[in-house]
Amino acid sequence: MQITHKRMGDKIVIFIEGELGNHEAKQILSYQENIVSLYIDSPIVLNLSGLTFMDSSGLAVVLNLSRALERTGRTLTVQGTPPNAMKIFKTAGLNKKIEFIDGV
Amino acid sequence: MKQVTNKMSMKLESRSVNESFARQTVAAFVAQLDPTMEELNDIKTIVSEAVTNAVVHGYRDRLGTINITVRLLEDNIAEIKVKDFGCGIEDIERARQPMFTTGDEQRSGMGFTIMESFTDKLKVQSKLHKGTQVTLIKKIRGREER
Ligand SMILES: Nc1ncnc2c1ncn2[C@@H]1O[C@H](COP(=O)(O)OP(=O)(O)OP(=O)(O)O)[C@@H](O)[C@H]1O
Ligand SMILES: [Mg+2]
Repeated sequence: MQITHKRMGDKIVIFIEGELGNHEAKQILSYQENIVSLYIDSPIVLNLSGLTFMDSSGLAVVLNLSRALERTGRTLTVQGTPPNAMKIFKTAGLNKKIEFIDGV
Repeated sequence: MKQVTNKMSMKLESRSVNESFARQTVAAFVAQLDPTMEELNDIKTIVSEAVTNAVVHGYRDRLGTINITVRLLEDNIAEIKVKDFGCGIEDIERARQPMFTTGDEQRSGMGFTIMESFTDKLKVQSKLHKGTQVTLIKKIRGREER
């Protein structure tokens, strides 16, 4: 698993690549926490197009980021979610609570 | 009773680093049933859910052993058992409810819901202070009707 971020226009885009399971989730959560407090005014996009695997640990990753952004009046956009991960978000009904958009 | 056409088993220490190894190994074994990519990913996901539960809940504050057995049955059925000897589940019916969790903010209580919806049958057996065994049964349909 690799996590990075990049400024793109007015947005900060976080990229998670590789496998996202329980073993990887802790590192992702603390990285996201830092981004949210570091870029206090920027819209945040989570780009998942590089994911090769995700399980329920990914639900907590997305929900935690979404809640942290809501506390500062922002909303999360998730971009480029691969079909296998989307199947899990849909099973949990997250597609109705969070904005998922296409793109790589 | 269905005929067993092949079988494998392994024992792992309940370290989170082994979760990836477990799901990939089981998926590689089930691959001989010629599943679609989606079915193969479903296998990885359900194994990951069951093994992660053993790591984070069953052996919450200690290391233990996780036994995984995979049997391939006639009619292209994969039967996967994941067993721990940890704390056990007090109320299985409640544990299987969507969003029910005894975990921290890293958990969302959706593991059993995912296991149930990605398999044809999910069986959970547990005894307090003795351990938990999850049986996952999935028919591999493959690319075309067999
Ligand atoms: N092997 C196990 N040993 C002991 N308790 C378990 C075991 N597996 C599940 N449980 C209990 O059942 C609950 C529900 O499990 P489930 O996998 O559905 O959700 P979760 O693990 O809490 O969250 P998520 O899977 O979404 O990360 C757990 O919170 C835990 O209390
Ligand atoms: Mg779980």
